[in-house]
Amino acid sequence: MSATTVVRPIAFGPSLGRSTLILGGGGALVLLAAGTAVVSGTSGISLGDAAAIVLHRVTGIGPVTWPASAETIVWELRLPRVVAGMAVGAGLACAGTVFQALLRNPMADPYIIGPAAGASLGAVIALLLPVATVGWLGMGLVQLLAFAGGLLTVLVVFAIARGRGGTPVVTLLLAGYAVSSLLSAGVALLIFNSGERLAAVISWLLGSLAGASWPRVGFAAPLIVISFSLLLLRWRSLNALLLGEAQAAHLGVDVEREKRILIGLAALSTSAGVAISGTIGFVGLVVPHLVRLAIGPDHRLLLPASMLYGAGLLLLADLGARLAGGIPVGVVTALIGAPFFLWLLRRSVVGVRVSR
Amino acid sequence: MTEPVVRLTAVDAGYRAAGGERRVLERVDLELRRAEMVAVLGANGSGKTTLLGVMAGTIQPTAGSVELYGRPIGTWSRAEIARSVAVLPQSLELPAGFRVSEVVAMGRTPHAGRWFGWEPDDRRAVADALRDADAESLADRPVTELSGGERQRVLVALALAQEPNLLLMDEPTTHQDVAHAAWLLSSVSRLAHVRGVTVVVVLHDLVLAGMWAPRVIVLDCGHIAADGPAETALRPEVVRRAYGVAVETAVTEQGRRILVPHLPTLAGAPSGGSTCPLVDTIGVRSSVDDHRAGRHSDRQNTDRSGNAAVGPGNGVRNMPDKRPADDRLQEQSPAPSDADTDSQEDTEGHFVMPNIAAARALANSHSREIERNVRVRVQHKDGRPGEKRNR
Repeated sequence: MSATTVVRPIAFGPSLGRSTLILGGGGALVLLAAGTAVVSGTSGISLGDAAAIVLHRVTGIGPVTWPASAETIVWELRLPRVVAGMAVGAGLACAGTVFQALLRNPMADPYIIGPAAGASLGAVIALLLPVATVGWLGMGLVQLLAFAGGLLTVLVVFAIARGRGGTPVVTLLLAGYAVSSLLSAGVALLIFNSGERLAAVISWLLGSLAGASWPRVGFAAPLIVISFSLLLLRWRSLNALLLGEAQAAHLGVDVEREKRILIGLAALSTSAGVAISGTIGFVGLVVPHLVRLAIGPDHRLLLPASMLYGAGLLLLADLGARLAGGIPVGVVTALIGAPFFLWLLRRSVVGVRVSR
Repeated sequence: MTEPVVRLTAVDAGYRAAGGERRVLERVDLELRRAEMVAVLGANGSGKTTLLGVMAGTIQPTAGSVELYGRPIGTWSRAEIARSVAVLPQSLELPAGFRVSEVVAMGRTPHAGRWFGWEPDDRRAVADALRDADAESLADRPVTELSGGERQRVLVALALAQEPNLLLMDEPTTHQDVAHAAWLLSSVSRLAHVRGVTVVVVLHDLVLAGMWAPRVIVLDCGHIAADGPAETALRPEVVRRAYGVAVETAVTEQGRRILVPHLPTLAGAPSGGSTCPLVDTIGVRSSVDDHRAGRHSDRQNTDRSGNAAVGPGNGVRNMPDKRPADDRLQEQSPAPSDADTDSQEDTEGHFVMPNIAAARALANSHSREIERNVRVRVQHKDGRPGEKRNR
């Protein structure tokens, strides 16, 4: 230890104080949004009652001082929806961050290499099948086929793009685009022939958390939490990948293995989210940009912050959608996200760099 | 005798190109020891970067063996290699939004633990790297606000943060002025002396290489044409052959012998490197060997006849060796060599099948295709296809 050489501490990333502020702020946003979402709605339930209900259901303690209908509304309707919103928002933002770094493409979002198109096809097929009651582990056929379709599509795209010397990201992007287009054509064909099921199909495609229930959340949330927990630990290789694949390899990253891990985890998280919420757009694209703009590109902080702000923002968007009469949350995120993204774009054109 | 840091034995390396495999390195034998300082020279395309890639384990040799500290490099994990070998690439775009210290800390990737923190060792290594690369004053600067010279210092610090035993630098002086180039090489020498790092530097400047490196390796079409102290490796005939450019020896006031290139005439672009023969892998090795044998016994004069003997359709791309003969330096007028690499005509103007599949496809194709080939041949009679002549 050559103490004489260190005149002043060398910054290894955002300072501890700053990181605490940012992550604490994100956590507060999530809690605030969750609390607001649980108590907001047509039937007025106080925050105290809601907290007591949750405490009672989780730990079994406390006297029951509320009507049974309040318990049903909080525990069976609003809370699963809130947990689903948190999980899906965190998963999408985390996957978006990973894809933007891995593909070194600011336009990348969690759906870029096909999971949305695959999940949509799966879901629409399930919606149009005459058997609507088939299920497994509390999941409807729609959710199961959407999940399988999303994962399968990513696997197929990866297999197509994979060559002798590895999987070039450009090929991955193009293969993802082509496969997505193909599957979207299938979805369009089914929509055209959907008849009286059209409304259900469109509603799923626009993305909504209205169908959230404990069994569905219980299926998707653990998958999402496991994926993003493992993704958080890969911050060093994600940072190294920002230097380009060649230099990442020189820095000890097994680039092809890392690609499989990162894409696999991001696809798992995305597919699980899409399965219970439909294709909610713009969260996975805009949130990473927003957070990067605020705190910089270091993935040690960027990944957890994106997760928290993704969860918080999707909760708020869903709350807005619910209060606006139950419009699909995908419409709200697009309505807010698209102008915001244009603003970011304009900013970068004017001279403030966004992604690099 | 200490164990070599890296040992290459009969290494072939190359990549696939249309119609065959371009062998970039051929039967390279090389040993580097601790704290050695080596300059690698050679024409563009002679295999310098590939040689570095093979030593860094990012390019798999197609034949031969590469050992780091006596262990085959294939048995090392990427992280293990990166703890021993650092590479300073020809160019590297630094991601915006980071400060210099944060980018240099990325050099700790192969050493750092799997969780979120940094160890005292990491902090010390980054501080030392910044100091040794003379980049301490840059530590808090955003990487997007650096001059060319400062950027280069940051890249050196990034490589040093890996605490390598072997440092491979690909043309680090290319965009540097004389002072920065001299500073870089002298600080690299210091590393070799103080830290015992083995340093391999790809250089283009004959004078700089001759002044700096105790050991010089000259690559010529993937072969090691010379390997030794600067005085013996940088002989005029070696350089003339490797670069296809005439040089003369000059003696400085301090009595150093340096090589000065002759300015070429306006006859054409230099042909070194990119006219190295392209070898098809489909059962034509013997004719290729003949080709090579002829080429090396008398490089300048047997090639045309040698090429003619290897007829069309046998899978060899008969690239003429347009390396100018010493005495024909001025009468040669080759087209730009990049274009030539893709051309499918041999010196006699025949259309040469790139490979069997293409031959079959051609045989099955209809007459228009054949007509086109005839046209190519006719066109070739009076020189080269028009677009190449009109430059």
